[in-house]
Amino acid sequence: MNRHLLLAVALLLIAGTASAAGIPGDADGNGVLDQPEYTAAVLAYLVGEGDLTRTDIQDAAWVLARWDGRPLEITDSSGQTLTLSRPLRRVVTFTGESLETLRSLGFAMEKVVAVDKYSHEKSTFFPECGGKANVGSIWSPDMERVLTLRPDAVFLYATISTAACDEIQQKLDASSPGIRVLRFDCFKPATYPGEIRTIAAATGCEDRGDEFARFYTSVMDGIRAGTADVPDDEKTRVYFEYWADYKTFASGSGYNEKLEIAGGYNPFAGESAEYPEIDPEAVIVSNPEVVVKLTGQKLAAGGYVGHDVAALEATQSAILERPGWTRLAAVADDRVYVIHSDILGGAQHFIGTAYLAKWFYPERFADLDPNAVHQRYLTEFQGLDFNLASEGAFVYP
Amino acid sequence: MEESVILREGYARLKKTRTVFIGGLLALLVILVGVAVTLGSAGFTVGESYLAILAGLFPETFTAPEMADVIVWDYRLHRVLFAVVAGFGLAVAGSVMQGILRNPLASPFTLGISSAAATGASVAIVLGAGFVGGEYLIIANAFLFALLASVAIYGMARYRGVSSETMILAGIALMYLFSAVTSLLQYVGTAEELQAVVFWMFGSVGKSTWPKLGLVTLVIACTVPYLIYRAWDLNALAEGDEVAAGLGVPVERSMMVFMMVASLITAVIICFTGTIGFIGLVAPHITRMAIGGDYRTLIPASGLVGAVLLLAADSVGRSILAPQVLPVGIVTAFLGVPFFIYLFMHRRDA
Amino acid sequence: MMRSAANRLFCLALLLMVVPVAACGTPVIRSLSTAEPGAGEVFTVSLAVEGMTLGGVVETLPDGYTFAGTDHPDDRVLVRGQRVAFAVTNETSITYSVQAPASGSGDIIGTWEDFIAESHGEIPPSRVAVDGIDVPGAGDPSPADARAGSPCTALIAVAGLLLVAYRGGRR
Repeated sequence: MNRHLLLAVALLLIAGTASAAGIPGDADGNGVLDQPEYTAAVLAYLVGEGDLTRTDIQDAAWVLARWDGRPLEITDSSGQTLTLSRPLRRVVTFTGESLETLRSLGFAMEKVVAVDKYSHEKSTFFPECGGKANVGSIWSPDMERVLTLRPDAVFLYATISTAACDEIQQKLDASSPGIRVLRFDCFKPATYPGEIRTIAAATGCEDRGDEFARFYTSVMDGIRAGTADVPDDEKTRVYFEYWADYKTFASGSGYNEKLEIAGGYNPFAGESAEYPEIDPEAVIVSNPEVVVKLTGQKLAAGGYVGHDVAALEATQSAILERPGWTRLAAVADDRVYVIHSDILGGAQHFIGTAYLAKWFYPERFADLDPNAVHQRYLTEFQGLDFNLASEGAFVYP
Repeated sequence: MEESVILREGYARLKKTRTVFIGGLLALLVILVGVAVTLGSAGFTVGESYLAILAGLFPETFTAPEMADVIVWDYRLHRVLFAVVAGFGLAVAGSVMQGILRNPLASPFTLGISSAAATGASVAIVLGAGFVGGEYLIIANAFLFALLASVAIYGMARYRGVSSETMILAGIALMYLFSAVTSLLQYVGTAEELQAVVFWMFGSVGKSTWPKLGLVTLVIACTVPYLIYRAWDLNALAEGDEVAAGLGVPVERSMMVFMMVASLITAVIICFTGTIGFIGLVAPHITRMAIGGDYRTLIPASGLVGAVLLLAADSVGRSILAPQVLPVGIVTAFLGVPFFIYLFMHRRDA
Repeated sequence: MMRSAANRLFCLALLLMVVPVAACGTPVIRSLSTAEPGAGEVFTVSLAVEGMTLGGVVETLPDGYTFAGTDHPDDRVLVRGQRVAFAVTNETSITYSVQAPASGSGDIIGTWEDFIAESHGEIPPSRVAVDGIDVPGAGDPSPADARAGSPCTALIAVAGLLLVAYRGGRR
């Protein structure tokens, strides 16, 4: 009993930045900030009366201008509805994908107060994050640091690592209900456009969000449209290998989904395990027309750091030299490719999917330039001074 | 005449050693709790952490610095106390197991309980199937599968006759069975589910909450007094079945009861923490080396040793890779190494 | 006479060129209908506001000078002693009247806040003196901007000089 009282007192003490209360300036507490209430709050603040701070008034002005004086209701990707009474000023991201998406939307990076440890280490891709606080990973979160940063919002995954994310959410809900937990994946083709728009609305970046969503959907829809009329039996047969030799993906894995969006046919999609290990003979028997090899993480070659095209080339050579593979259609037609998971896995999956589509159907996608798409994404939306011609290595050839 | 004097003096010395040992342990435990509560990445000073505790207990007299009360009461305090209680319970269960199995290398997990709990957790994580839905799915599964193992031991032992040999054999058989099922589930599961299962099996005090702490404390508070009350029977059983029977102890029934109680304590702890190894093995051993094998004092004393060990291990796990938290099960697994080396070096044919 | 007129025109032209530049960096510029009112005279102060969607302005009048009304909507004005607060909603100008005392001088100082752009600052002070008589130190509200090294201050000084020169031309 005592402890709960204390918790309540503590919450009131830190009510300055906590957004648990309603809209600042909403004097009658009816959940709507109308012009007279706002004006009264502003005047009181200007003459030094009342207990609203400058940040409170700025929040009130935001709510009045952008949300028409009403709290914003958003539904995140886990289906929960959140009500925001103030704009987000202190954000903690546990996922690199949501951090990247916030940057694409033009969200002020100073408002991100902490990132997960993996993003913290990516000095090439997230140069501004090295100085931010590090809150660990989803499976090993530093909850004390999250709390001491007093964030408004914490970003977690919606549909993966659910056990770990649910635990973080439970702990936050129990100890600090003022902290909003936003569950967004930001890497799934099916949900990403919707997520872009929702996050844009929540952060007040609607214009940029709209632009980015249109850029993204133009690429993905273009791919879908270009492969829509390919009959099933004419789909390009693809053998897509994971980091480990002879490990591929089956349906249910995100990579397979992107392969199929690009119009490919994976003969091993029906396997029961998510990442089945295939008998090498079965691969030769299936005689794929295209072979794609994934690098990154466990098979470190390429990526944003350095410009190691040679490593990707070496990966390709290693595959070409596999015994008996010279008879494969893919090898005979010179259609063995290497791609890095950075552009196929996370928020940049549309770039990787574009490459896949171009490799599977070169004539249909002759006009598609995945490199230009990638460069535009980096320069225009991510704001990175990164030149693909001289930095990074993502695909070979 | 002389003999009785020597015996009495010897016994008086032993009693004194025991008092000193237990008293020292209690003091050490209090100090450790005091230290553990100040550990964490929030950067509070030692004084601020204690102030937060006092402020939580006496809100009128003390006010804690911002956030300190939330962090100390909602994140640290129950975790520290849970480590104490869990260590206590596992050590007591271990000492009881060593008694009825008459094997100083026995632990609460010798009879396959940990493997069974791991299978229960895997079933919950990979298949999503269980007895209770929602957030208690994994916990309930782990608990009930652990009890299932002890019931199976009971059944098998009844069938073949209750003795330490049959129980150990049955336990090993169950351990292999459950491990195989867990491995299969890990193979079939997605990468995510596999990670979740592995993390569960590491053993961690991180998921503790005040209600869980209360539940475990309640179970231990109910069972340990009973065990101490029956400690004399344990002493007799440790001497051998015939000796015990000769002393009027209902051997079969006692062994079963002790086994079930120890399993219950273990199950209720590991369903919340995952499998934390070596506490149940090492703590009673250390205690026995210090104050002898009389269960009337061995049970509470090894409980204290277990509490100290687990709390120390958790504190190390929280500090060594700060701000990352190393699961306590990994730290205790390393504990086993010096222990077994010591045993290896100082083997006595006792 | 012609020389006076030429002088005045020259000063005025320079003034007109300098004043907009003097307002560099601030979205609110103040101008007075007269900087030397007669005793008891009511003069108008005009604030030109640029690019402020939702913001606020607080003007502090020197001692003795009293607020005498404004064309800004009533519910968006608040008077507290020598301070007058205006809530700005997209307006481009705010005009208010001030009644001068029998004698006395001082600076009208002000601050502005833009709540959407999340910026704030000070409005360069405007000197006002009854009948042009400067009473040093008397009636001055606490000088809020002592920003050394600001180009605005230098330009304001120049503007002030030119203004005085203009006035001098009238004599």
